[in-house]
Amino acid sequence: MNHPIWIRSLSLLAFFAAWQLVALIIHSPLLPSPLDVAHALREHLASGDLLYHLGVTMARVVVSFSLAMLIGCVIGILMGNSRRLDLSLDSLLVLGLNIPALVTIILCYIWFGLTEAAAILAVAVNKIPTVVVTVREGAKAVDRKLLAVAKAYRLSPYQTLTRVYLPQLYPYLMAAARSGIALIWKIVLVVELLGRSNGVGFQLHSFFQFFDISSILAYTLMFAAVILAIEAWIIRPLERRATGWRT
Amino acid sequence: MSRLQVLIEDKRFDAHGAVLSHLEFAADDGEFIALVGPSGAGKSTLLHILAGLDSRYQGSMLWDGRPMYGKDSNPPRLGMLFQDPRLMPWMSVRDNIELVMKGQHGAAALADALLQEVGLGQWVDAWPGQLSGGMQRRVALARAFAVKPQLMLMDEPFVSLDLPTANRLRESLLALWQRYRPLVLFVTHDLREALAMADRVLFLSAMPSRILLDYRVTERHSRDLDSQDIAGLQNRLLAEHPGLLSGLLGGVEA
Repeated sequence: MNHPIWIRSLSLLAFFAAWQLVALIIHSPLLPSPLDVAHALREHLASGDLLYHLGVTMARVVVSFSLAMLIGCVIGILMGNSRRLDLSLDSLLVLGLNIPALVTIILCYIWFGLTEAAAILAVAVNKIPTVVVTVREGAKAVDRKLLAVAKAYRLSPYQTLTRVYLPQLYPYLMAAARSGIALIWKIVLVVELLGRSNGVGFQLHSFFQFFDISSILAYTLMFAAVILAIEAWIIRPLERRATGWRT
Repeated sequence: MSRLQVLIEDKRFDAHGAVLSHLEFAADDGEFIALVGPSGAGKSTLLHILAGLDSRYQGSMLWDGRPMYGKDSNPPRLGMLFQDPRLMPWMSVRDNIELVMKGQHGAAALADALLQEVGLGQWVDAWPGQLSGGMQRRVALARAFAVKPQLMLMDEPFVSLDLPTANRLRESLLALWQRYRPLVLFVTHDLREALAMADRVLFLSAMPSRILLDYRVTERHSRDLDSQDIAGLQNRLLAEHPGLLSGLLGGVEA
């Protein structure tokens, strides 16, 4: 009973039990019981709409996440390596970090229309500054002595980048990716709620208008499960692989 | 014409005086040359320039009569040992060596053979962090020879090691050098180490450094730093040139 899985599940089980109990006592349509939610979940799965909207949302998450990581890494590495660039972009960065996500989303929709590209752009723009900050730290921490080894042994620029430089950045990239996933899927839901006609955020909005709390919770649980799975089966193994040498 | 011809007219770091000035020497294949001088005499700076890590100097470095770096250059295959091992901690010991071999044919086999030779045959798959400092330096030594170097630059590679470990590493180095015969430039501040290892010792002056004395080591019968032989060589040399090491005696700075 001391296995970590048991300990992890125990708190979840207790939570569901308490929820069921409170729902029974209150007995209101505004607080459906876990069983009601499970029922709604089964129906949405059977009709196919849950998987469709989930797929659409995940696609947006993947595209905007990749875009934000790519752009954020390039800017972060450049800023970490050039004091001048760092100084000149730093104020913009602070600004970017502090603009509310909602503002970027609204502005993107107003300027670029209620389009897919505007939605993706709004999400990416929200995430890029935090990627830049993390990667910049990493780029500053890169060991110049190891780069000197690469230079003395005349490794090609490509080898130096992929085998000496990026491995040192890897923990920072992982940190950026981890916080990135957590942030981006939340923003994607808002983007969908405000200006898309599909995706989990759009569905939640519709359910909200019908006060269909069971469906809201069903979608939420499903979506959270997918994110947990990504964390457990993609991010954590990648992280383990990258830090295997730290034993 | 000598294989390596070095003339550093002037090297200075921003807003400081010259570190190297009119430093000139030539060397040939298979020579084992020690560079000896007081701390801060710019020995490391000289090696960094020779390794192509620092190009802000005035002067010329020729390999076979052609510039070693820059345009129309003819760089020698270069092995380098730094004061610290400088292994990539995220790569296995073998991968560290294969890295500098740049995917040449049979790299893995040669890497394993070299590691065997420096006594690390059991450790090819280990992470550098699992090895002791002395073992890490062995890996760095194997790495330096993995490129089949024509020129080997060593910047006090055995400093801050305990005596037995340093002695074993010196033996490994000499064995590898005798096998591959690169031109070695070995920086040390320990005169006994220089006299025990090298055929030729270049003494550097204090800053701005130039070559004070180009001394050929003859009549050496032992390579043991603590032998009578080396002590005798050292005493004779210092008797002849009392000012040679001002501030330096037997590797201990006064």
